Amino acid sequence: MDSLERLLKEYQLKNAEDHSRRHFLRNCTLGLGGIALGSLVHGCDRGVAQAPWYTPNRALNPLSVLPAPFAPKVKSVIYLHMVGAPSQLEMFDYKPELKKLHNQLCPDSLLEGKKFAFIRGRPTMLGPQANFVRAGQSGNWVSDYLPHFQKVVDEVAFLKAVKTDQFNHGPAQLLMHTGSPRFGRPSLGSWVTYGLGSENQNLPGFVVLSSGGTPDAGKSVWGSGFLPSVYQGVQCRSKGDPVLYLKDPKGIDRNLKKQLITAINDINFKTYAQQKDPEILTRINQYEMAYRMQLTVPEVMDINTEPEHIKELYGVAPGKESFANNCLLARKMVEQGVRFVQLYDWGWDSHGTDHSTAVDLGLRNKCREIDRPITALLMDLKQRGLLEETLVVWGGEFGRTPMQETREGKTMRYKGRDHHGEAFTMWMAGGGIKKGAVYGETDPIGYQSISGSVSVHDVQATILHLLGFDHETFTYDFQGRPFRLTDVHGSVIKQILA
Amino acid sequence: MQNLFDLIGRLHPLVVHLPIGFILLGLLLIHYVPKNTGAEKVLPYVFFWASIASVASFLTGIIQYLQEGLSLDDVRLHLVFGLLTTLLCMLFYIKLKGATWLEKIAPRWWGWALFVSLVATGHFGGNLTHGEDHLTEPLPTALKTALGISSPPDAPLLIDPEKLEASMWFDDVVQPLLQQKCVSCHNAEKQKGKLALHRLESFQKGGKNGALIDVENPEKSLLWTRIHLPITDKKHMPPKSKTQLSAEEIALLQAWMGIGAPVAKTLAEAAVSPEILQAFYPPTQNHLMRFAELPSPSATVIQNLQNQGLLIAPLFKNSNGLKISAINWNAFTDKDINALASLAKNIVLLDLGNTQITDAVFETLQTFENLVDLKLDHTLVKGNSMEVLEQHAYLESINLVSSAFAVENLSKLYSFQTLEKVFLWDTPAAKEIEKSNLPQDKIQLFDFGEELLPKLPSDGIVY
Repeated sequence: MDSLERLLKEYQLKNAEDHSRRHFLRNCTLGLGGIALGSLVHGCDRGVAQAPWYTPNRALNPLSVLPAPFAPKVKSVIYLHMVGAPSQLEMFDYKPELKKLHNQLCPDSLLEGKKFAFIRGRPTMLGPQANFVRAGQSGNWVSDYLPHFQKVVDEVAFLKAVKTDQFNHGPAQLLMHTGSPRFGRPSLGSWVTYGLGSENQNLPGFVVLSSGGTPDAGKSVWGSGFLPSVYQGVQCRSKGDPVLYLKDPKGIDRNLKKQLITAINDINFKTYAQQKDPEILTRINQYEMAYRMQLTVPEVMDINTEPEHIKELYGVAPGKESFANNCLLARKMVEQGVRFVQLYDWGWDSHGTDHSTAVDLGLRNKCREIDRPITALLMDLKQRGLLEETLVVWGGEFGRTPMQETREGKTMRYKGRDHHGEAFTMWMAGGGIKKGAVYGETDPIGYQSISGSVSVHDVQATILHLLGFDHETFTYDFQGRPFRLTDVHGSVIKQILA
Repeated sequence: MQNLFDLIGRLHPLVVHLPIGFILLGLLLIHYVPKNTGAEKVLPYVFFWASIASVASFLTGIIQYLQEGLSLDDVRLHLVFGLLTTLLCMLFYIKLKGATWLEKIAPRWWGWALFVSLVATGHFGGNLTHGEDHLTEPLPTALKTALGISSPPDAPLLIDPEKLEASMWFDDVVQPLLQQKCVSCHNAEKQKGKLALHRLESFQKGGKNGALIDVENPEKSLLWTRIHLPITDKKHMPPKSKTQLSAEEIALLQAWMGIGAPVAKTLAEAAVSPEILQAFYPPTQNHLMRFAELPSPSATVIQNLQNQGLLIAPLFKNSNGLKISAINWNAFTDKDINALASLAKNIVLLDLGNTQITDAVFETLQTFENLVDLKLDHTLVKGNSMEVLEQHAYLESINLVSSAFAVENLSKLYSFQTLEKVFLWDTPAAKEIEKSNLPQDKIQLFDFGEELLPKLPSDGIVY
């Protein structure tokens, strides 16, 4: 009886919180003004206005499907991010001139006015450590670090001169994924899920898988910023159970659990009706999503159910944390209608401080780890007809210098390269992409672009374009002004579009 | 002296209002003379001053024309009617003074002729100062199209890749570009820096800093320099506050100057690298755009189907073409497709993958005449009776991955009208594709088989 009274008292107190003198006064003063304001600023939620016969109710389901403003070329994205910044000079950007300059002292003209993350003093030039071949019918250059990838090079469009103004990992990763080098903006995947919703009601719309560790910028690179948090990336564990606590606890069956969740959500929805805080919707949605995921996730996230030849194709390592597993999972998820799959692979920061970060040793092993899985991913998507409607993006947060790193001015034991954002390589493949295209060119030592320089915002504008958005009008109102993923920058890179 | 002439020329727009006043007063007097007031005696006096003012207007006009370097083509009609008005004025004055050889024409007719001539002069003069679309511009667009008045000529430049042999460098490429980005400040009336870019002759003439193009050293051309100066530079063109040339437009102008700035040559005769022109080709329309105009589907039907678990959404915002997917309804059977019948014309993308459907669905699919993309993967569909789809006008892609698609139905695919891609991976038919004699090129039958990536000897090496 005591506990019942306590509960009643707590309920009354909780209720009273919303009915204080301040609430009364505020309702008196703001209420009327609010009504007037409501008619003035209607349409703040730009995501919802649609054809009159299509009225998805985002208050009931914040992930309901919204059509893109323009006819889209792809419906899903798989974004492969090599955390640490892979060396373009050992993978895709072939620079025979640099080989000739190997070990020569770097001239002043390349150092004047430049800031490096680690290079001090006068470094020497470091020739490419890989051998390059012209691969495929397009004859695009690929290094022998990626022997399998040569097979699918014709599917890919290269951007050889991407430029970023950030030369430290964290800010550069934030810029790449949120359009700003500082915290607080929504990530690309969040924007897309907010703008398009999610097709499979039993899976999240934006899934993040990582191998090797979390990116330097932390979980903000898949955060939702000022968008409602229901649009943030859902990180699945890469080892063991992908999602924890999916099994029903002992003695509780699914029906009982359903009743429990329904009751909680009803209460939450009442609070939402009162306070209109979108975070409450997020909460409701998470309960429901978790309940539905119990059925689908064990199936979708289990790579063991795949046939043997597919596992071999990707080179998966069941039970371990591996990029290959994540690539296979990415395909399975896109097949199931997941909107945005973000993969992070750690270990690409080839400074040459030790064996694992040497461009002739460790980097080579890293390339091995992604070569087969990425090739397999592209081929597998293609044979299933999914590559037509999926965009695969590959890249890092910046590139690496054509100079040998001289950390603190000292000569280093291993061959390594410093951070370099002025020109690096990314590629895209899939629907709407011009196969075998190359856009952008760097100078003979791969230091700066000589044509076709594109910015990080250009890359983002292009991704949004393929999904059916105009990056300039795709906005969200926050703190009194509309925000865009590309801020005030960016233009679509038409040269790589089919 | 030069300055004085300049000033006199610039007074033309002021002076012209004097004869207008006199003539209108005179016309009123001709048509309505108050009785017994003797007002008709004023008439010669009015037209005397009208004549004087007309001559003054005409002379200032001529001076302005010579001073400001306007082209004769632009001012011709204004000049002709101005002269006519002046002459009519003077002749009428002579008649009023009693010249017998002009007696036969009644004053009424003089009046009408003067009126028409005056209005015409004013109209063509107004076109010069305010632009030809001054009066039509505020009209509603619908009325403008009805009247056949085209939109202002500052539409972005488009180059038709099919007509490179017929497109002239200046008229079809450079001029539209200048029109869009330069002419608002460099035209017949407004000639900043004494430069007009609205027609070839004035373009070739250049401005106060000389000719725009240096054929010998294109990089030293004035035009080249000005568009390449940093935007913060005062001499950068277009000025900072105006719409800038895009990178593609700069590349195009640069390429044009690079090949000697040909004027009357076609794009095919004097060629530049195709990538430079490509940026101006009409945008390739996404193939789904054509379904924007379908009749709008019923909201209640859609609501019902959504409640049953079908994913239905417009292809894109404001499209009446539909994308329908059974991704959340794995129990979907042949019977359930009947519910889609009333949306038949709207369905463009249909995904029935991973459902319980069989070959019986083709009967209903036959009525979905706007289908572009059909997914029947992971189903029991064998492909029997799928030939009913072969007349579909837009069907581009069929996904039959992991279905029961049978080898005997393979040849049917070749009589489909528009089919481009068929995905047959992991079907009974897939294994037979290589053995069969079917042409591989007409339809892409994607199937990599199971031996996708052979192991390389280097695969196991750890560095």
